[in-house]
Amino acid sequence: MSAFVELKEVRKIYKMGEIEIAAADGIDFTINKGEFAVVVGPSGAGKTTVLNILGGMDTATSGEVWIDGADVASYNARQLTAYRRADIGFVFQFYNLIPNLTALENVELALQICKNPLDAATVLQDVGLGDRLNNFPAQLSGGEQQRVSIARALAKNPKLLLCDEPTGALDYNTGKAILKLLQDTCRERGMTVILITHNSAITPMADRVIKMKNGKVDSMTENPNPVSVETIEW
Amino acid sequence: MEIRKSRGRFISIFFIVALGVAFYSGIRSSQPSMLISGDAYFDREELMDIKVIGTMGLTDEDIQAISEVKGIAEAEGSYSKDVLCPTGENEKVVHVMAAQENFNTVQVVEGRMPEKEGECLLDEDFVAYGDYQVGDRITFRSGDDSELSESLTCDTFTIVGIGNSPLYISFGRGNSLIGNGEVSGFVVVDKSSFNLDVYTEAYVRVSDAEDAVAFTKEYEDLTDAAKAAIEEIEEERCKARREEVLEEANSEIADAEKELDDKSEELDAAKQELEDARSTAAKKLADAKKELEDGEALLTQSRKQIEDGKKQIEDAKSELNRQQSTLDEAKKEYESGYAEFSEKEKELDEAEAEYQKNYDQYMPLITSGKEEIANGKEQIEAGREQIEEGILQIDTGIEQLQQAADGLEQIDSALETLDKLVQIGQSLYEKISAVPEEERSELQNKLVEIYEGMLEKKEALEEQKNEILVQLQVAGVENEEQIPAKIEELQQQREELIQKRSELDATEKELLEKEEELLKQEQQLIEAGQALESGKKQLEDGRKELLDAKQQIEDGQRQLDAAWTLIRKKEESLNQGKKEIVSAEKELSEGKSEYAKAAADAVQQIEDGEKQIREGEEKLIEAKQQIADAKAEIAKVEEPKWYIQNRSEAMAEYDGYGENADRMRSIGEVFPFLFFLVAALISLTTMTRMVEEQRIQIGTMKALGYGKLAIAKKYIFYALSATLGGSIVGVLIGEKVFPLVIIYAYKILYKHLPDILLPYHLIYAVQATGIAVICTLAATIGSCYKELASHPAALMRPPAPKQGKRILLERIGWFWRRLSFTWKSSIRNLIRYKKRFFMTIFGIGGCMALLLVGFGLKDCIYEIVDLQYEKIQFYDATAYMNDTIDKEEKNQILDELEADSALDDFTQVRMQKLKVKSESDESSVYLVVPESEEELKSFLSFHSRTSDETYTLAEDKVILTEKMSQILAVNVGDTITIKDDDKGEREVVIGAICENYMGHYLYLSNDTYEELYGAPPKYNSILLRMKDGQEDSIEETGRTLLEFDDVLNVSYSKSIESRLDDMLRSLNLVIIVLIVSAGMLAFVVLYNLNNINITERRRELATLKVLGFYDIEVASYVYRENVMLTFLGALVGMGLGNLMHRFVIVTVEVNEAMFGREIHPISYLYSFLFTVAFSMFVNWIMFYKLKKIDMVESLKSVE
Repeated sequence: MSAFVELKEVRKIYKMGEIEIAAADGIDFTINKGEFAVVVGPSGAGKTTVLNILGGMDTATSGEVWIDGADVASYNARQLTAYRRADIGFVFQFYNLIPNLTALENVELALQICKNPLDAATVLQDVGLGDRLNNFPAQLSGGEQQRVSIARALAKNPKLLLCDEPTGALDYNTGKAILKLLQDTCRERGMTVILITHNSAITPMADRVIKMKNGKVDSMTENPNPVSVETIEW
Repeated sequence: MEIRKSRGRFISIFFIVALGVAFYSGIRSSQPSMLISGDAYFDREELMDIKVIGTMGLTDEDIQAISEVKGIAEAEGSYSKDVLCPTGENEKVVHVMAAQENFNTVQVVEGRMPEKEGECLLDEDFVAYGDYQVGDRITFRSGDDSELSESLTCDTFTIVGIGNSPLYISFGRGNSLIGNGEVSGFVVVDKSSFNLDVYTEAYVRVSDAEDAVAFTKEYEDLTDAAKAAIEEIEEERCKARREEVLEEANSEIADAEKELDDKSEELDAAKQELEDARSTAAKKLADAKKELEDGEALLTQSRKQIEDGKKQIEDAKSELNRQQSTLDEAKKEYESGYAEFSEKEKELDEAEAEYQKNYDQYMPLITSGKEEIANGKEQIEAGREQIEEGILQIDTGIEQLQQAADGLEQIDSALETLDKLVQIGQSLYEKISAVPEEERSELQNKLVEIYEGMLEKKEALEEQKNEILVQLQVAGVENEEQIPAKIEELQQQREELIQKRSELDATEKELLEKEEELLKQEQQLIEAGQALESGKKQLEDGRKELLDAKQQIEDGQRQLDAAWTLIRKKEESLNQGKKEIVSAEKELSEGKSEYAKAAADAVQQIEDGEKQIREGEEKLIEAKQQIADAKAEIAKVEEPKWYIQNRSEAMAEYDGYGENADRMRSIGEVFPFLFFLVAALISLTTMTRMVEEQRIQIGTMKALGYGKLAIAKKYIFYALSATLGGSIVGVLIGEKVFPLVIIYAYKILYKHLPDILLPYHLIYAVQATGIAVICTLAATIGSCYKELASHPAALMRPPAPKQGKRILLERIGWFWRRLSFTWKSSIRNLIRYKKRFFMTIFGIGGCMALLLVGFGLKDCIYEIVDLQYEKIQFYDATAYMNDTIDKEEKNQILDELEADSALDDFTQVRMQKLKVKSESDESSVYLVVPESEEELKSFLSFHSRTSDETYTLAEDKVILTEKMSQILAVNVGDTITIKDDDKGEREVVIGAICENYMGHYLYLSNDTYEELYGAPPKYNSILLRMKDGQEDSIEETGRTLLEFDDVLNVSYSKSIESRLDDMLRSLNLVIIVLIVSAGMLAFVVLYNLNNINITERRRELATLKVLGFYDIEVASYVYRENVMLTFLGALVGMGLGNLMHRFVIVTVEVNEAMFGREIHPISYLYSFLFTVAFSMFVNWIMFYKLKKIDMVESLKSVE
């Protein structure tokens, strides 16, 4: 299986006055299509930088970022926007729903900009919110909001689902449920999912675990037998 | 600190407060600034405070008395008189007044003040009418029955200056009893130009009034008190004046009586005169008859004389003819002689030509021949000499040769002898030589000596011979034998020479012959020349003779011609004499008829004289009656009256100025309200936002134990500093700019107002700042209040997110479904944030409203010209006639108009400016009484402005124009009083109120007029309407009319139109101010809104970016709200603007005109477009701010 996502020698250097800080200091890893990958590491390890670069929200200072055969690192701002629009589904830590739109509308909002979207109501039903379609975000619990957020990302039918600490703001059980949803999505839809977390307890459920430390990949392990979320405790 | 962090927010408050304060304090200050500017002008020019007019004039004692009244600083008597003055072709009423010493200083614009009688200064505004210049002369005419000389010492004045008077601050010059009732200008003359015994009026200055600002209550109280004080002495002074006048009148009656006596004496004298005339007439007639008879006799004599003259002329003519024929013969002779002479002359000319030819041909030949001959002679002479010389040479040669031959012969013979001797001597010598020398004898020696001598001699001879031979050789002779041949040769040569000489002699002879011939020829030529010369002389003599003959002939002809002329002249005079006789005959017959007529006339005159005397007697009786009447009248003479007027009563436009200032105040009360409202809303939203942002900080401070006030202090300070800063800037700018613009705009009306004074008015600054502070502080406290009231713990938590809410619009499913999600979100946003919603709606609405007011003002003011002349008054001109016009001239005028082909129609009306009074107010209007109501319909339309109703002049009722009904506060059915200065007051009922924009009119039917005044109206004006397309020739018609003496002036609707247009143009300035203010308002509000929206929704916008929205899509998500709010605001602004416009238009309206009421649809469009443009401008600025939003924001937690 060829690498669906491949990072080569990716560096991101911030200049703070005269001091250069390398947030990413030569990152290399590959992820195959349909894999559930977890990027894990302590704060400041460069997880978010990787996420930003993968998500097309930021550009690498040097190195190559190959997504499905295209080098995203060489994209200009407009190409990046188009890339985000068509290829990436993003799940935020704090859901980032538009407070003025209902659950359904929030999903539809994302759909109006992409080419071959899925049906919003169906996706919402799939994430278990069939009966909360017309509720505003403020009327939903955190878990439900995150489900809407996931639905919004999925409905775009992206190549890559990026999740930034999706359980960070949720309680244990809800977080588990969300992870389950993501894992199921990966399995059932063959979606490539990259999950970024500092919680290494959930690594067993991943096909591939990328451990980061000080802006570098500390280790990358493939897990031939990922377990279901239900079996993991932390 | 906080201010620097949130500069946009601070500036928003600062700016809107500055705007509001500037508007409020600026417009409010306009009123006092206007008053102060006016007052400064009045004080500087020493404008009177009170004017006293006496119906019977004011004496020096009156003036003295007035100046002694308590509260009066000074009084000065003055004269004035309304007269008619020509202006181009029109005649206008001007107010002539005396120059004052201490009052009403005239500002001289050009030239100087009048200094002596006959000089005047002209009104600057009036100069334009008549095209007068300094140095021109101006002639006045009395406008009523009185003579001009009763008031003025002369009627023609020299213009020495042009200027303005503080008595006339605007265009209005007041009313008059003469002309068309409207004064057009003033004229200042020296007091000495007035010819009056008493002053017509007095100007009064009130003590301390100068210190008070005109138009204020303080000033009015002072002048009212002074007025009352003067009124107290009025009665006493008037009584005194009456007595004085009565005395004068009585003495006048006495004079009249005396005159009456004189007249009756005169009548008696006239009777006597008539008697005398009768007798002289009889005598004169007799004389005339005799004269006629004499004339006839004279005529007969003349006739005979002419007959004689005729005969004499006939004789002279025949004599002349005879002489003419003689002369003609002489002429013929002369002509033939002349022909002969010409022939001879021709011949001579030919001969001369030939001679000349010969001469030219031969003379040179002769001359050259002579020369040749002379040369030949010379050559011959030379030849001869040569020959002679040659012969001589040859002769000597021969001789020499002969000699040489002889010499040689002698030598040879000598030699022979010698040789023989030598041979002898040889032998001797040889013998001797044998003897030695010592033995030799003497002979022997001698012999030797001889021998040697002989040898020597031989040698010498031989030498001689050789010499000769040499010489011969030179001569070409080789030797001796050749000599004879040589001689022979020479002989032959000589022979030849002699031959030649004889030849030369022959040639010489030939030459001499030739010479002789030439001389002969020459002689011939000379002779021929002489012959020609004498011929010429003869011809010359002939010519002279001929000329003499010609001269004689011509003289003769001339004499004859002169004789003819003389005869003709004589003939002519004869004919003249004949004609004279004919005319004399005619004269005679005329004389005869004249005589007959004169006789009849004389009888008639005598009869007339008798009649006149009878009439004179009747008149005398009448005069007696009049004197009696006058006496009775004197007994009835009413008390004179004083009119004591303050400035607003005495000056035409004084009140208007104060009212205009007041109008600005009322506008200032309305407009700024909008700004303060928006300011409050902006403060509320921004401060709310600020407090919300710092929720946790507030909670922390509260938890630390700070009091509510201590925490709120920060926000209050923030708001207060923005407000105070804005207020200061607003006051500083607003109180200068707005009054300046407003007063500048008003200067169209009050253009002589010299300076605009713009002091700061602290009261308005404080008021404006106070209002602004209250607004912002209330908003700040309101926004803090909720947060300060909650528990610290609650504050530490993030606020419960505002719930998304369904809105009413969603019920309309078909509409809602069509909206995209960004639209849905935007609409829900709009409704959710109500403060912002209202702030923006009012801000944009205010912007739109201001623009509407600006454009609407323009619409309403500019349209009145069109409305007035297209919908209401259809006539092109009005001709005003003198009230005293007689019927004959009027008929002539009407005939003239009837004949004018370009004229469509005309109608007569009575027009008179007079005062009308209602219960609440008094004002002047034009009273218009048509000759025919039916005809008037095509010149004027009476209709309602609001409905389609039209009106007609009803019995007993009047129609009043709309604006006047507003001024008088009257309505249909109310009663008003018409005040005619001559005819007194009458009450009428208003039957209808009609649409009208310029001027005020009161329409009255002629029946009603007659009913009111007891006499039919005198029609003094003609309304003229031209045919369609021939409106331009109205001025021609006007000129024709003005040629009539009693047509005072023609005013053209067109020129009024264009003058008004000019006046209104500066309104543009006001409109620009409004547009700029509107723009600033829109900017502040939209900027603030966007600023809040963007900071508040940073996360949301970042999320959209992450989701893959392009920049432009993100921007439009934000803009959508702006656009919707702009549209909504514009909609609200339309309503608001309409309301404001209605208020403003009524408030700014000047008294003389009513402005339109409706804003044109195009102005709505303009205002809307401007609003949209402002909004787009702000959005454009915001676009860059949006672009800068970082997507990483989306990853941050909720604050």
